[in-house]
Amino acid sequence: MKKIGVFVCWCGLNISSTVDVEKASEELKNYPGVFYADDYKYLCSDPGQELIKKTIVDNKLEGIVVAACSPNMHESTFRAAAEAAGLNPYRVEITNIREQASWVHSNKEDATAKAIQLIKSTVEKVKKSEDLFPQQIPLTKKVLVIGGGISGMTVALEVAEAGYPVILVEKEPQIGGNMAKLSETFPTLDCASCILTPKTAEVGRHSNITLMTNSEVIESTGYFGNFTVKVKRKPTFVDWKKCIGCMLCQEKCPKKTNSDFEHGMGKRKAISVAFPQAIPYRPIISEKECIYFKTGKCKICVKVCPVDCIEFEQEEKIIEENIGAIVVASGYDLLPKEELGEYGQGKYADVIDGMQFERIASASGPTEGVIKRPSDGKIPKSIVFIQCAGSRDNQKGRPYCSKICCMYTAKHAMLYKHQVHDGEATIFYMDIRAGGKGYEEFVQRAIEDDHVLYLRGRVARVYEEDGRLVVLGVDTLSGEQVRIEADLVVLATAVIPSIGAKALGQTLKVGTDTYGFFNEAHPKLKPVESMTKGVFLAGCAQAPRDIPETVSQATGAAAKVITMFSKNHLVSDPQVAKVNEKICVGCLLCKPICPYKAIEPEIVEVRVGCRAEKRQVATINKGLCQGCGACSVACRSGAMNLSGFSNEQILEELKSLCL
Amino acid sequence: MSVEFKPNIICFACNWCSYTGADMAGTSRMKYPATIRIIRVPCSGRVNPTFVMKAYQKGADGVLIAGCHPGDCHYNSGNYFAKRRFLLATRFMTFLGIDEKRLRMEWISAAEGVKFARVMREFSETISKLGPNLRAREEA
Amino acid sequence: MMNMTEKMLEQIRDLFEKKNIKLFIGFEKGFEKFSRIPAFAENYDEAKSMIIDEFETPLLAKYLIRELGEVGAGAVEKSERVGILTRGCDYLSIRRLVVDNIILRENLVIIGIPCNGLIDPKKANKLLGEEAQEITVDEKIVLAKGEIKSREINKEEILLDRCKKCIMSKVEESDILLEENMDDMEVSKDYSAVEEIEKLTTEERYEFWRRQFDRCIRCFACRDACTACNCRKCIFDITEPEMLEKTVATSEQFMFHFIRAFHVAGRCTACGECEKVCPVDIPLGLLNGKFKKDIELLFDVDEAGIPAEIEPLGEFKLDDPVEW
Repeated sequence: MKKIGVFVCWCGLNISSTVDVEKASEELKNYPGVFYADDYKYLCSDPGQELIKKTIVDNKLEGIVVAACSPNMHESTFRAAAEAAGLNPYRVEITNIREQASWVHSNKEDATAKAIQLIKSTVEKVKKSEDLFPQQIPLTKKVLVIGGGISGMTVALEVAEAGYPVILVEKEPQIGGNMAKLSETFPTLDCASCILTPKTAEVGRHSNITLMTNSEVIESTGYFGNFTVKVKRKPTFVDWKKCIGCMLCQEKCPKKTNSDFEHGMGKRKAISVAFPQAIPYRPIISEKECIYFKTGKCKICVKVCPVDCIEFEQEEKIIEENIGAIVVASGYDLLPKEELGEYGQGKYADVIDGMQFERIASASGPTEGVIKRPSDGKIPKSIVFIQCAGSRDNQKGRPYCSKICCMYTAKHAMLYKHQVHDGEATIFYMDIRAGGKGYEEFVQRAIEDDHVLYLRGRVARVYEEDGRLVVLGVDTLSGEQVRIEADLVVLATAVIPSIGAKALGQTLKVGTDTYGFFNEAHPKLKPVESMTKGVFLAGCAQAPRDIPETVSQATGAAAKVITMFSKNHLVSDPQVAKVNEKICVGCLLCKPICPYKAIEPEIVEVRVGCRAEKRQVATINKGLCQGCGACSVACRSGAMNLSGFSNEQILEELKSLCL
Repeated sequence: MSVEFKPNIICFACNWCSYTGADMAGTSRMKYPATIRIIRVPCSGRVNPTFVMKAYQKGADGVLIAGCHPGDCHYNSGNYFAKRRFLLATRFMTFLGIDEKRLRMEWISAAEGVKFARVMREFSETISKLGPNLRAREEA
Repeated sequence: MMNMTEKMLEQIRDLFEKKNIKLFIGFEKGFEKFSRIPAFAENYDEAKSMIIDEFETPLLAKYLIRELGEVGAGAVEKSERVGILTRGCDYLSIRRLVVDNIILRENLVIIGIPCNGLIDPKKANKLLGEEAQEITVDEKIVLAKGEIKSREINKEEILLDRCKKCIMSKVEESDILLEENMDDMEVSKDYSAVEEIEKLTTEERYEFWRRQFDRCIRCFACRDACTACNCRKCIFDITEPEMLEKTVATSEQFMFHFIRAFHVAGRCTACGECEKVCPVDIPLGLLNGKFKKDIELLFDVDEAGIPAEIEPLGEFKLDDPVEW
């Protein structure tokens, strides 16, 4: 029988007015296992804590119960006091006789009886308590950022500035992401590249940032603080170290093809750099289009290169890195127009999506900022913008709001009206969602100053008639059918997770939702953490959002990483699951239940009779386990248990409370 | 001579939501009957249906499992597992002849002190009406 | 044409000679007439007594736990394999063990045989009115001959209880299939017995179960016969924490039967062995059936008796029913 001390707090009058604390401590003195019991005015005060410490030492107590306020208030206070007195803090339990007795009951007799019973049950719990020790987990202070868009760059710069090394992996040959493609940004209409270029340049030259563009993360093992990742560096066929960026190769290359960066609105060469401000400013040969790769002849680039840096024989490289934390900033793509049958399924050249409009409105784009329609290069006299193209549409499997379309459509219409003053801009919308600083004013400017026509209603169909696009919709405010002949139709297609996000999630063992956006650890309180400890989320990888919000979240994710790295090792809460290997049969029924993937099989060697046998058991990664205990219920034999809330403890508490 | 029946009710409360909701009820000085005793657990997913049978055996007249609202679980999924387990366990206990009204599951958030107190009053009332549980109970 | 027993023996010889098996588990004749008991052969000669016919047999899967090593040691690849004769029901039990990581499929050689129901000789005796001396089966008609009487019986009437509720007549993953499967047996979901109990009042249900459970002698045969009960150390044998106390009292009986049924909930393959081995005839199938029925109903599972990679209690759906 353990020597247990019981301390009953008066909490001034808060407890003592409805619970007879003296009676309680008196009764507990005679309770089996209780060696010491007393009551005190304010146990959380310094003298109160001193009393606890002194009593523990003087009586060599092996466990204590503090009957006071909610453990959410002072559990840590009393555990720290006990630890200072040499008692393992996890041998301290709190009985909540304030919030659960004195404050909620008015009959003193009832409240006292209940309080006494609660204390006794806690004594029973403490009898089954064990010493628990936090585990120190080593930590590699290096972060991997996946995605080189505005969110990934923000994270990289913040963490790098704090003095920690960063590896920034980007699947495209250059950083900048989607933002690099934008023309101007709402609600201020400043040009995207003007505000982005300083950032990309800084990322490019920062001594703490290792940039790996044209690369992908293909494997991740380990756990928080100690991940090992493999990065596949795809071949560029140009030795970027030697290359001086003169771009003679691009100029002389005879092969022209559609540019992905321009979203089909412009051309590029088979050896090219995506855009003039690209970081790194180094060309890449597209194996698919290059004449040499197809025919074995050409090599014009080799001839013109002054530094001899073309390497047709370059192969992909796999690089392994040890890192401590991962930030997923894989961004977004747009729902392909092909999935929107009612809007022509992508077969009309002059039905474009928002990003394509960005390119033709961009000063550095293929039309040098002159809004021309793709089919014949004419300046459109009438543009119809269709919002919620795929978003908020259950049938398209995208019931969510893409969040940025209301604002960028207003911006598109505005940019167009600023160029073509007599042009007609019509926007079909479901609702205008302009929640953000200066956003509503921005939309009002479009309506009032730039005379953009907003029609509330959906478009039923877009089709071609006599060489003109016809938009058939309904204005639900007037209830009338609307038929508009348009030169150009711009679809605000739904924001979807970047292609490959789901696979990336599987690689990193981070969950994604039905649509493929990464799941946050808690929708309210942990928006930048993923369910996998040590993996954080930033930007549109988690959900559609605009630039200011992305930057805020990215900064938050960076702060999380920096906080993690500010310690020399990680300390894990010992109140986590534990496996009794002697009992565990290794059935792993517990495994699918763990939300943190902390349970893995392990082969152990045991003695059976006079021979050694190998056997499978479940093991807990104490770094990943968060101590929810859901696994322990799945375990039939009770081999899986939860320290601090063990089966034994709960059962003893329960039995005592049922008396 | 009849003695007034005072039910004995066990409430398993998830530390993050319902336990804090109970604290809220306390801080706001809301009253509920002294028939309820709370056992703090990290998550409703920690509650083994066997604990409930054990409670009946040892003399509980009612058992309440209080967890986070769906979607709010601190551990993301614990309450969903709890829901599955107790959907089955409650039906099974009823099948064995234990009144289904004696086991109740509630989603109570940390902000719902009012709900906590209301549920406690309601449940205490229900159990008072049902009277003491003598089924599957250890003979005194 | 070779009969099935001959085909099996040929395969067994082959297995011992070429496939490095250390043991073959099948059936041989028992002491009583028509009783078939498990047989273990360490070489071909020992296997020669094995037979395949249509009389009631116990399930063999549970022996695999023992034969493939100490419980829990089966999930490690072994140098020698174990062969086993398998019908659809055995196959479900084997799958149970494989899904539960108790044994590795690689450590097994499965000889699959088709089955369209086994005969319960006791039932035949009852119908005949005396102990049958000879029973011959021809498709759906059974001829039972006693010392005095002889009678033609419809096979349906003397089918083994387990076969009446068969959910799997095929062996889906056999290494060797002795004969092609015949037509699927009719699978009928029959929860009428469970529903009968559900119709009672709470009071009546409690009384019903109290009477049943009070007979229990806590022999644990139900557990020992069950392939879903495959723990290394059973919770009932563990004293800390003492989930089940050693006193024999009604409340402990309820505790015992609740825990047993709950631990196989969603994992029971409905083989009926527990009920069959119970010496005091507690209708354990009703308990397992109740869980099975509810799982299928609540969680939209087609057939909860077929072991899935993740058991119903190991997952959840966001749109699981809400009752609170």
